[in-house]
Amino acid sequence: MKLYAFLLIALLSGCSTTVPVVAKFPDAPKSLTEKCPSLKKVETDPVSIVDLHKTVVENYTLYHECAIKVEEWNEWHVKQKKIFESVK
Amino acid sequence: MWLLSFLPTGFLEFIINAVLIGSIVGIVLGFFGSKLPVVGTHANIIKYVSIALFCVGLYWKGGFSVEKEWRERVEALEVKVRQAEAQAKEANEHIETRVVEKTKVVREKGKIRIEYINRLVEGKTVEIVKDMSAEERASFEVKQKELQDALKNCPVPRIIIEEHNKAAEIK
Repeated sequence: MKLYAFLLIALLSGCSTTVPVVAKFPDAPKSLTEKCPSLKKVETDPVSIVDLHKTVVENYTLYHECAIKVEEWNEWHVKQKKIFESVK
Repeated sequence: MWLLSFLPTGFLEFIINAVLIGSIVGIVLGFFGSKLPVVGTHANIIKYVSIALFCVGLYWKGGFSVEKEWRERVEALEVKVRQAEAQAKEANEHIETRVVEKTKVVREKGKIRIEYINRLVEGKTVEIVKDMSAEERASFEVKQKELQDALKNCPVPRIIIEEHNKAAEIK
């Protein structure tokens, strides 16, 4: 009985195949993972139209910066997915 | 079979071929070499041991061909993974550079707009008007005066600021 068990294990070991190669999905660049900052508020008092203009322009800049991140994040994902799926 | 993965391919192939060739030689000697002085009365033992070794060698040969195929696949996959990693790294660097460049352009654009209005308010317009035609300059001066009048006479109502600030909040 012990001999049969040994033989079975020995024969089954032939079925085991290790594949040590694993492709790792890359980490996103740090600049893309940063959180978009909150929009600025008008803090001065009294407020001149110039201060208001400044805050609005700064907020547009923040929006554009965030939009760049989103666009590039999508681009990054599409590219990396394509590269990752090519390893099959 | 997984134990075989620790041994080099060439070494394994040598061992298996040696067992097979040795067992074939042993079988030939076992069957036909009984009259040889070296073999003599051991012919039967050599024959059976060689047949057993031949079976083991054949099993190993089969297993080895599968193992070899897997090793080739692993090597090919390793090459692909290395290439993909290099491509991914390159893509990351490219995207990172593009983000930095685009952000720089956007910030610069915002800064220029703010500085432009500040110059108008402060009256530092020499640089702005130097390349303008007389007509353009007149039109520009009207706009500048309009801005300065608005600054003097039209304070921004507080409700506008409050509503602006509420809109800027995420909640």
